[in-house]
Amino acid sequence: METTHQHGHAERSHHTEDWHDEDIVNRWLERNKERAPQRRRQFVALRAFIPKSAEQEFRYLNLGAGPGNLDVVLLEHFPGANAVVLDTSLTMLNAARKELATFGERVEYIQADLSTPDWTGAVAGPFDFIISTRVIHHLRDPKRIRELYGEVRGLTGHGGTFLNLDYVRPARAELARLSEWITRDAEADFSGAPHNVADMPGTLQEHLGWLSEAGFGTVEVYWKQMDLALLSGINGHLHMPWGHGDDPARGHSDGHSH
Amino acid sequence: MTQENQDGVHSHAGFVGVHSHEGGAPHWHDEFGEHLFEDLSAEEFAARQLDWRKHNVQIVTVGIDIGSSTSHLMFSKIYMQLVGEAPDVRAVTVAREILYQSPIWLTPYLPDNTIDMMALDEYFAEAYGAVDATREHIDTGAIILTGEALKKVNARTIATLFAREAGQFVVASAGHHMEAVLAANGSGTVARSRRDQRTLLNVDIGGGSTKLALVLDGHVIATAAVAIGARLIARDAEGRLTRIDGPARTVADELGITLTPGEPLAPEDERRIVQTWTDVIAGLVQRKPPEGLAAKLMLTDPLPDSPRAQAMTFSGGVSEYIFQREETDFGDLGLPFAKAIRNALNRNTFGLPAIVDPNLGIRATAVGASQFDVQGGVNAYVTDESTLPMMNVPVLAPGFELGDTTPPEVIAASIRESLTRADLDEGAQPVALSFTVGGNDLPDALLRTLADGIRSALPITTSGSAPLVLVVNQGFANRFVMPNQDFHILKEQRPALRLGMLLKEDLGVACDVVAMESVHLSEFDFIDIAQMMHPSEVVPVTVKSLLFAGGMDRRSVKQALIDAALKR
Repeated sequence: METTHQHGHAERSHHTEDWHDEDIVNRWLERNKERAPQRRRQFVALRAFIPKSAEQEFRYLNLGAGPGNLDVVLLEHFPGANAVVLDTSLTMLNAARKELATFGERVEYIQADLSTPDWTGAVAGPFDFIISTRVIHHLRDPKRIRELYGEVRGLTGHGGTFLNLDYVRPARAELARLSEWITRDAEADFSGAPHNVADMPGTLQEHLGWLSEAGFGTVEVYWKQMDLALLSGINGHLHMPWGHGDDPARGHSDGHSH
Repeated sequence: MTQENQDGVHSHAGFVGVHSHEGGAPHWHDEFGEHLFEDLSAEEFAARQLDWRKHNVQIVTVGIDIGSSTSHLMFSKIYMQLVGEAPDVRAVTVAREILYQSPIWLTPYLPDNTIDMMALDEYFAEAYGAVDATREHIDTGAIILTGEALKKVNARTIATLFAREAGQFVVASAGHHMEAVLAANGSGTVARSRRDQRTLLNVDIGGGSTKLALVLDGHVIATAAVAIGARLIARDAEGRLTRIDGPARTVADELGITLTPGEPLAPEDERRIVQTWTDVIAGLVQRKPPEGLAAKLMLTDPLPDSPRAQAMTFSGGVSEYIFQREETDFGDLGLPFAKAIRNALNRNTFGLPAIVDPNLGIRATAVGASQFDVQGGVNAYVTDESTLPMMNVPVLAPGFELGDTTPPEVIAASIRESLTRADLDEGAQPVALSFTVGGNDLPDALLRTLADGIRSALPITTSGSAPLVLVVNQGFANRFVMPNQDFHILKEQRPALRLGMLLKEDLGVACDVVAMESVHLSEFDFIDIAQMMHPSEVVPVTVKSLLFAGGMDRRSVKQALIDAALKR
């Protein structure tokens, strides 16, 4: 493990950051403003995988919502969406409360710590979507992450989807070096991407295995950009806005209904 | 406002029954859904309209909250759905439109430390002006008086301020227990607990006291209060102390801090005071037995050791600062106190796994009253008809389960607890005890146990100080009984009649008894009972319920409708 600690600049600070200190959270919030545009693009790319029409009502839970940047992207786009935003830091949630004030009662705020299963005591399912972005790796302990996937599965309704956007560890340690190497090709535009991911708690394969083990019938990688992957676990069948079958608006339907 | 999509399905922003648009096809919507257009004939339309009006009620109500620190009022339009058939009807509030919210006023005081009624009346007049309403436009209202000083000195005076509305307005003087219960309801914590089947702890931190309410599956099972509040110490714009209440002195003495009117409070002393308050509240939340300073500050007994709460909610003025919705300094310790609590919450000093923001803060209280008449009246046993009419009788709903082995002491204890929750003194006013008994057969022995429990819980009332009102619900079995039915059958099916007769004739209680069958009532309801009608021997009953700001989210309303339909 010592070698891995020699990498790592940007994300190293996670290990020492105390999310329970109001001043530290306020400094993080300040830094967060700078990277907001890049993250917004990623959040939109996550949003695209939510098969709901504008009129449809649905309910989602955001685990580790931070200042609510993802929720702005979702709630603006889906007028029928209602959110439960959860974070371990009350100060962070207060920032989300300001950010999401315009959505009024569509948003519910819960402070809870994901490091034990107790958080489920405050949250009542079922949810159509449970979403988490760049949060679960903070738990560090693979055993706890596997448990958490089980807890998430328990709160996911029939046809519900868990979307987890997070860093994954490369399959082999030496692949981490590629993360730096690829930034040398300017035209490929991988700049700004490198992260120290060698000490992330799970590889892509491991996460997919844990999701299956938690009871998600379908597990998939929707996209992966460098070491950041959008993983999904679907409980039962995916529900499209028009029900089962093809989108009638696209003319793929053969005229028979099922 | 109507929204329409390409399928011809539309929805309304408000809540509508059977209606048509610009002469189009009549159709209807339920309280949530969008319904496709339905082609109704004129007769069908009229029938639906009638049915709709029978089961749906709209009223305008005002909720007036007068606290020892702040006061405010709110006008709302309420949409109620009546579920079930008379007389066993349950009114479920399915939607609420806020018509007007007043600002939060600092409650005006006179130099003799009583409420300045003239100033308060001016605030109210302004509020009525703002909605362009006269007092006749308001169907119902609830006036909630909180804070010990108010209860002792001003309750009657304030009630006279609204004398013109005496009939429609319910007035509740809330002591510590009832305040805790009101806050738990007002914040929506009770509705959330019922909806999610969770055990929650609501902590309401106000200007003068902090109230805790433990809520299990939608029932407040325990309450407690402690003399900690943001306005126990107040100061002027220059930071000089203008108000130092007794409980604040107690804390200062304990910490060796001298508080002097006209002098500033040193920042370090301020920090120590708010930290001490936070520690005391954290100790109560963790159910540590209060000792030392904490014991001195307790206004009631502490909460019992169990059950453990799964999450905590905050309401009251200070919660606005905790959740950083308010950042204005009102010349008290609200801001620094909230910061100390926030730090404790961030570090999980309170020892509970989750904090839920009920989003209502200082307005987590009653927002008015709903009201409906029980169609056709209620079968009743009345020992002296001159007792009627009775107005605004507070309802108590003791929570015991009546079984073969339930001793009368358990029933009596449960009734006494419900009196405590409502902050009512036994015998000082009439109360209505509402019971639900299960099953078709109700043996005499069981009714006798119930009667013994009632008599032992209410010694002053039963010795004649006030009439005793009883309401017995017998689940599915108890139905409206036609007066021409055989008396023996009738008697079998009328547990309230049997209970009333038992109390009056067998136990010989001195008070008048009004015993009614099957009216679904809850705690915080008030009932009006009109004079008995002959020969049907039914009494017209009007049920008024306190309405709360919380619990109006879609999922809670849905749960309430399901509970009403299943008669839970």
